[in-house]
Amino acid sequence: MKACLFLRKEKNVMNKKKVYPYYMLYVPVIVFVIFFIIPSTIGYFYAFTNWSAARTSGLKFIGLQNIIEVLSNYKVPIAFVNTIVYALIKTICVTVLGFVFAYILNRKIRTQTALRTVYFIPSILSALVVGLIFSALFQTRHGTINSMLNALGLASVDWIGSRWSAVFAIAVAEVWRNVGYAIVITLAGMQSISSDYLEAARLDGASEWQIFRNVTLPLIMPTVNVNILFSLIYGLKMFDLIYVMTGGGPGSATESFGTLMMNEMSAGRYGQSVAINLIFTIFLVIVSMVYNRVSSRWERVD
Amino acid sequence: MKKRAAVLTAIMAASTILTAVPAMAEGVTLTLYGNADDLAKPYMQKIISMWEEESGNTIDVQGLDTNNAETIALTKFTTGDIPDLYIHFGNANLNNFNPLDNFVDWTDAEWVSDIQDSVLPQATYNGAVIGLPFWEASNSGCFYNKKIFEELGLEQPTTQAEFDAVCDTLLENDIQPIYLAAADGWPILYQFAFDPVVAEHPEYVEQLNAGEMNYADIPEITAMCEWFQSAAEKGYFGETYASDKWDYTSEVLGTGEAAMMFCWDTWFDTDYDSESYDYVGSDFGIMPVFMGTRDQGTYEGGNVNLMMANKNGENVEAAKDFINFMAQPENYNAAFEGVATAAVFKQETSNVNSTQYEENKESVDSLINASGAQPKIIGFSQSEGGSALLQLMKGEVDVEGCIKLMDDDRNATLASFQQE
Amino acid sequence: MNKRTKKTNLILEIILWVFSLVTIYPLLMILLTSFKSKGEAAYLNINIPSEWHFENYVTVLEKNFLQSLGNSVFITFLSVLLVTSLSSLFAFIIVRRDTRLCRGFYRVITMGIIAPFAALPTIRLLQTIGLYGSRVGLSLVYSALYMPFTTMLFSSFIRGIPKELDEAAVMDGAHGPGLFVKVLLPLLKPILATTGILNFMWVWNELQIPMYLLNSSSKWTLPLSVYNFYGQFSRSWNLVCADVVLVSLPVILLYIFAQKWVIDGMTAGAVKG
Repeated sequence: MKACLFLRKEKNVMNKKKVYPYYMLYVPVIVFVIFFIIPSTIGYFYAFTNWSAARTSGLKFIGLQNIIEVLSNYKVPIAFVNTIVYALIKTICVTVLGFVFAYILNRKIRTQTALRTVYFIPSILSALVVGLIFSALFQTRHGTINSMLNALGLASVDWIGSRWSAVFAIAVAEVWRNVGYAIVITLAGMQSISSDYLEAARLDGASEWQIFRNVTLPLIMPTVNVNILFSLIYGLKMFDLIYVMTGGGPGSATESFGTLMMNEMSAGRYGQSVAINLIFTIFLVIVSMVYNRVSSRWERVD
Repeated sequence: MKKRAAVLTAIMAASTILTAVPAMAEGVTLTLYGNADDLAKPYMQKIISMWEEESGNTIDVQGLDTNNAETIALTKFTTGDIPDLYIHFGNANLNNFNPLDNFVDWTDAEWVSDIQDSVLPQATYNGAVIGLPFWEASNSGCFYNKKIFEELGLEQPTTQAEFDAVCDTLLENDIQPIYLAAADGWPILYQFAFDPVVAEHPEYVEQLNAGEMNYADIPEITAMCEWFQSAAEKGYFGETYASDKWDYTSEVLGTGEAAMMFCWDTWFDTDYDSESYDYVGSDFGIMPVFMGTRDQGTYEGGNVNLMMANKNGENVEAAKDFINFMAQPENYNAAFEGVATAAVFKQETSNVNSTQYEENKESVDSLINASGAQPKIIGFSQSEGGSALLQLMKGEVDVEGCIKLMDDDRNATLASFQQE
Repeated sequence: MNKRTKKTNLILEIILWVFSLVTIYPLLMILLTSFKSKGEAAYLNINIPSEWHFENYVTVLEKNFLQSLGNSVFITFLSVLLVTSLSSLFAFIIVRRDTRLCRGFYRVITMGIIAPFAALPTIRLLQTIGLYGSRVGLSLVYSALYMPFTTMLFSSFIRGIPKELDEAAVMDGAHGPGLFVKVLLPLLKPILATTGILNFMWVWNELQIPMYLLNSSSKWTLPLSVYNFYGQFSRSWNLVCADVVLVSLPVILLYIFAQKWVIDGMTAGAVKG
């Protein structure tokens, strides 16, 4: 801290314009805007046209018609509730499990490397494969989970056959697939905490809990926040695993916004598909803004 | 840092070398889009390599993810990236690809007269033949385990009532009558029930497509829904149909857990796993499908894939040459050698009819209907309709509600087709 | 380390291994299935194959494996290089400069994790600039697509690096890119490894975008090979599993390697508070 006071006198050295010049932003911004922002924003305009598989040229502006049509679809309320359920289960389980496992894996354990690798592998697998694995595990006739239930003297459950058990099965698969990410990210955050802080605290005679509460947790919060936001948004956007495991069924019981979009797309109703996407994006923007406000308060409190 | 950069450069360079395609001295490369499944068929692979060998040209086969193949292809067509060759099931959706503007018109080709009369309509759009139906033709129906039927002294039913009685007997003997992979939606295959109705009333299709009629106005569709509802209630589809998937078909049939299923005959030859279970493919016979619409039951004729050539492409001559090559009797006979299928071409002789068909030829030939609903009714959706029927079977909607779900979805697609 | 910590660690280690069964069991299903016959594989379980079908791997390798591997390596390395370098630069300036404009940029980029990939406009764009169908164009799209998340991670990390380090280097005359390379980069090693591995994995495994943006199968990536075995009416799960094992191996090896790097970076970088 002494060095810091000394530097403050020399403030003129830190001419921000010169030290952190804007020209270093040019390339990243250009790549980001050209290859992502422009195409994906242009995409939304189709929500207001009569674009469909059968009409790809000479599109007409039809105002809010698609949006009104989409909102009156009986599947939207189901998808809305499911989407939130998936995202909440995923965010809570992934964040908590990711944090706990990362915390333990960051201790000096002998088989650390092996354990880390084992916990990481599920996140390598694509939704297709995870869907395949969990469809087999939750399969009604001979699935492992039902066999285990039977061994315990319990009756088989028709997991994928009704709404909430199917939603649960999908959520379990999604959590399984994502804990690995959370561990990797949280670990990186924990390892960036300077050992000086920890040693200083230890020298002061702080208990492990005190160190965790007063040193580790506040310093790791920004990383955990990235994790939560990431799980939340991708949990809300989830569709591929649902698509593989239930196709949104039985009926439309496990539908999410993502699968609704896919359905409209594959039925050739492109305008409606983009309209769902637009409504959904607005919802996501609101969620992430609320989250950012809340989380910045957390960070400030610590 | 330098060392790392060097390693990176080396890796990138190596990968570039790996992927550098040896330049072909002669011949053109034709691009072919289609879904990965269809392009992997042995006769397809065979005809491609035969032509490549003979012409010195190459075909770059791009098998797209089956679930999204059509969306991907359409996106590319929209942006002007149209392949030299495109393969598509000639159903109502083919209209999306503007066949008359994009594909070569074969109406005057020699091979047109060689195509079976029952198949030609499927290759025709607005009066023009726009593709070659180079495909297997299957007979769809209800497949049953002959051995189980024999043990229980059951006869092939000839009416709806007899069929229901057969199901009841199976249930009494603790055998699930029908394996229905309803979780996947499409295996409910309710278009079978539509075929005889559409054949008898072609005006229905016109009126449906003109938006002047709904499913709700067709009494047979109500009858079909009622049959599914009562069949599920009585347990004809077992307890777990809502979670049953097509993936487990071989197993459930092969172990004798279920005795029947709705399917197509070539499937027992190409996909059924005869090696792993008690019952082999030839233990299954074909009988009519009874879904509440036609009392004496119905079979469905083949649905064919069309091979089409981009008429505005640079390589249109080579593409046409390929299709003409496919249409030569000696070539298609070589490709279909030993394949279990009905003949699509009049001079097709090397194919073999399925054992199921041979055993019950008379019944199939007298009751068969061309696939009429799926290719012709705009907005007909196997998966959405299946999903509505599943909700009906589970008691989440009543018959009226189920038909409304189907109508709403169909009308939404119909609206997206109407040119304003 | 005192005795008590050692004991706790041992208990925790055992608990972690017990828990890891939840992970290992399904992975074992994949591995064992990859050696089964098609019939046995119809059902995923951890039964030992009655016969070991090593030829499943040969079948998978026959399908243009080397060429697709080359494409995957090229596209993935280029994308990861681009996304990590662009995002770290971006995060560096935005966090350190911290003007209103920077905060605005940051907000826009975080919104980027919400925006979807839109196939049609992207193809049109690439056609306009002449990159449609090229592996470089695909890599640029991937880098832009994964920039938001990578930038967020870098930003949260750079916030934790004391500014005093910059100030000391500035006094020695460093600024701009020089300051970034000399001071920041060595400290970023752990997060570089982490974002590197995450992006590697995403790009490596992505199945949809190459089909839209490439127009020749000679440029296709490795994971697309799974579609050869994943049909609508009959799926050769044994081949799908063998394919998955082969496609996943490089990522696993890279992760083990990167982990070492994370730890090396941590001890060598020595972030002083």
